[in-house]
Amino acid sequence: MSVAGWTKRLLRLCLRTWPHPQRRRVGDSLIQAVEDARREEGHGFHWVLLECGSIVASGLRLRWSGWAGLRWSVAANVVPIGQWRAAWKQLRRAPAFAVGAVATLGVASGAGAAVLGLVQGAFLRPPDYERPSELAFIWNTDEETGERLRPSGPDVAAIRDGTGAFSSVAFINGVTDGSFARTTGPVGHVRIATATPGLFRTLGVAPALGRSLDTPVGGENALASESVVISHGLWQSALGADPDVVGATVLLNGSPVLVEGVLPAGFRLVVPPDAGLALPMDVWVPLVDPLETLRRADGRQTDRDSDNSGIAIARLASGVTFAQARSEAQAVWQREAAELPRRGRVGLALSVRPLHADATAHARGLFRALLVGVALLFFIACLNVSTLVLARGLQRRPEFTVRRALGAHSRDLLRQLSAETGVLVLLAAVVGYAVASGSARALVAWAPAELTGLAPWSWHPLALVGGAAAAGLLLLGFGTAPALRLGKAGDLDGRDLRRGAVGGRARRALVLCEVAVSVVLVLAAGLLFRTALELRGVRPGFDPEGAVSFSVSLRAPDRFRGPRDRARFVRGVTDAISALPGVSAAGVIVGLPLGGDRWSQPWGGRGTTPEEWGNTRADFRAVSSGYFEAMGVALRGGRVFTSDEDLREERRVAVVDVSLAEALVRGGQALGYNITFPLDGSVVEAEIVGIVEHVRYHDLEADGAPTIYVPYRQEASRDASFVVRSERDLDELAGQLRAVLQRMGPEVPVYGMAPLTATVDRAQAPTRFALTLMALFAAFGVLASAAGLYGILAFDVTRRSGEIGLRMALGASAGEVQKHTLIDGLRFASAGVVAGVFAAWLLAPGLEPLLFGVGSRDAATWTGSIVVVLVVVFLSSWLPSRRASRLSPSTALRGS
Amino acid sequence: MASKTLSLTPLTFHVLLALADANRHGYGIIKEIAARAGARAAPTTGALYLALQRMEGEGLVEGDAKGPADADARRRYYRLTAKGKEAARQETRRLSGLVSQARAKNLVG
Repeated sequence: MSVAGWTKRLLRLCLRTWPHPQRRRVGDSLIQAVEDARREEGHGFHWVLLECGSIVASGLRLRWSGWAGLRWSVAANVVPIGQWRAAWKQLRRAPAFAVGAVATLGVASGAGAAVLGLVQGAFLRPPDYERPSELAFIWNTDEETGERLRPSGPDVAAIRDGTGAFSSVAFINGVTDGSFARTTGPVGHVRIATATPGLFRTLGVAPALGRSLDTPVGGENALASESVVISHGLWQSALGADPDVVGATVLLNGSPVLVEGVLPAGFRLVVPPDAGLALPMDVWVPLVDPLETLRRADGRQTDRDSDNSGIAIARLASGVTFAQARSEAQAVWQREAAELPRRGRVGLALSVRPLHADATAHARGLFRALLVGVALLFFIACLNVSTLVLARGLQRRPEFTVRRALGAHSRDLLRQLSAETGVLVLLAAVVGYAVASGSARALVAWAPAELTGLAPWSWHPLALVGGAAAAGLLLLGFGTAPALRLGKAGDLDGRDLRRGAVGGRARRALVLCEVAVSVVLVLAAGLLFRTALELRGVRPGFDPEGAVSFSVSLRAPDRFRGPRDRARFVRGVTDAISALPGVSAAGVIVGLPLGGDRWSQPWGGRGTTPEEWGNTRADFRAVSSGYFEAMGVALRGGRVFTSDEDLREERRVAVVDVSLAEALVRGGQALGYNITFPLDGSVVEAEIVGIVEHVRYHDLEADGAPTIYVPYRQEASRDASFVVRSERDLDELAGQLRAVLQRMGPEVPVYGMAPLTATVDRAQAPTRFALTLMALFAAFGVLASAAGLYGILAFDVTRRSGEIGLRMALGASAGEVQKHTLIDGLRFASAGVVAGVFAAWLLAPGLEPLLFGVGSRDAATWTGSIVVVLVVVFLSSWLPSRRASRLSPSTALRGS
Repeated sequence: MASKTLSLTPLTFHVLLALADANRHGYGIIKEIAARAGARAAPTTGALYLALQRMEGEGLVEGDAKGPADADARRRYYRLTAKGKEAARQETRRLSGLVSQARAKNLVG
């Protein structure tokens, strides 16, 4: 073909972007004009392409103004009040339909919006810092396990000074529990965090009152510095929201400090839960010592109290990417590592991670599952309401038929039905808003701390508006549009004996989808149920029943001048508690199980040095003699610490758990062996005098690291927790325990008093939460499908009662009629089950982060879920079939 | 008579000018504009026909006009309507008024 021919083809193709009327009018002329120009001026292909571009652009512009016109005409027709009033009247004529549709859609979308709000607040919405996407955490990571470890001050200082990738770096040195009081007043418990003065500047948070931590005022020990910043919550609860609080003096751990400022109300520190930082923080104390001078964590670990590792938050300099920052920081780290003894670097790497993503990573699986659950729930609700809309359309078929016969276009009917759908959706949105607002608070109260700790519940931007739009579209597509096809020419008699009538087919398709989605939801609920059961069956290594725990902070400066004072106090309290009636055992531990406390260090066998220790880490716990009995930890060999060893030691002893014994000696007979580990700044060697059962200190799902126990006396940490075992009623006991503490140490804050079962429950809470939600969604889905299925079959039976009566009159038995209806229902519902199984097969692996002890493709759960859905399907088909079999031929025939 | 001033785009004005002395078809208009005002002022075919659509909608020009006797039937000839002529005149008056003001300020000779 010639150039002219190709050009013409191309131009015609481009002209297809023009609307048809204009294309017909000027298309030929336009092509001719281009041809003329090309021939006369000898243009090349480039020029033709340009012309094509301008033709396409003009075509799109024409279409756009055309759409604008259409939009306007649609709006002009829908907006008039008359249209809405007519729609409202129509709905009032069918109250059952209207109420059912609005309730279904409203409740489903309200519940969905409530859950979405939880996810939005906790996960999706970035924290209220300035430009949060520029913020990063700097962690050490264990090369072998990938576990996050807190970096030490000097390392963070080296990174801060050694690279320009960060515009500012902040360091939070640790969170401790302490006491707080106005100059005259009762002592309350607070969480105290020590941080470099620039922390809030780095985060971009301005104080609500007064100043930030910026200018520390002299002093050696961080807590002795004179100025602090308090949280908004503490200001309200302990200081009565006093507007003159700035410059006021308060007592922190018994020492006077100045309140410099108050943080804004919504401020939360966003950190991952396994960072070992207890949230929320009430008091912020500036870290006075320069980071470089803090003691480095170098394998010769310091004890917990003077641990100088912390959390590093940095803001990327403008124009710097995470990859760049990461590689520069790692380069600095490598340089430092080369210059220092190996023991500090054993098995550690450096990582720089985006703040928000890192803090929420642990719950990502849960949130994803919730989002999918909400989407499916909403989808089922829309499908269900669509069947209702279709059914209503079937009812109004005579009306449509007559109107069509009188000359109405599909367009007019569509307009009217759209208005009605619009009213439905609006009402449902109102109901949904009420449901979501009402349940939001309850949801937050019920949800586990993991989900609510990061940020408060907040409306998801898409929640109701997007939902309304989606519902409107779905309803129009699935319900209204098929209904419109009814009443077309050829349907004037209003009857339709064909089973495959348009309305029936569409409704069946919808119910099929509902059944499929229900299968997915039921399976998810089933898998979570199995997980919850498995978690329940986990033996944590201690006996949570019949025991209570509480924590104290031993920081009053006059009272506790050193480890001996603390050990003696702890011993005195333990004795007093043991003397209470009904108390069988009492003990002390630093770092309760499942309490979020992470304290692990490397260790080695007899006569080894830190360089030889390698990467194995063990959990360290300092305990008193009564701890194991109070906690219900079984003794497997040897002995526990004696009460003498609570106060003094002749020689160094340790108790280990079976995991460590196995690691040390094959066969686990480790009694009498020595182990070496860091303690209080030096390396000590201790003899193993006892072996106890393994306790899961971190979480229920994983086995966890082996544990080494040392007597409390050796560490005498300022934060300690008491465990009391008793058969008495725990509330009564709590009162008596507080009385003991009040008597023996009125300046010592007591907090966290709760039965041990509460800690175990808390560990299971996320799974239970997900399970309950998913089970509710599944129940809704199953009910909706059952109702839909029943509705279709019952309607069919009524509609075809004439046919059935005829068949019975001709000799069909009741049983045959029943079987016929039953099979009819089961047939397409089973297709739904098959589709659901297929969809579930694809989606199930997404649930794996939430599962424990059961695989996402677990045969038993799958079989059970499918059986449940099949049973429901069978029941919903059986009831109408019974009705069909009960029809008496004469009445049926007469009615037709 | 006070009439609403139609604000004309430069391309619209050029098309009106091109059609002022003769009925032309698409390419003819482009050629005329190029010859009179330079290649820079000449529109692409797509842009021209878009403008022609709009001007037809506003009643400034009319398609289906008669071309010369030997005209190709495929080519659509355009002619100026009375409204279009009036619009061109008003625009000319407006522009020359602006030119006078510029002259008064000694911007041009």
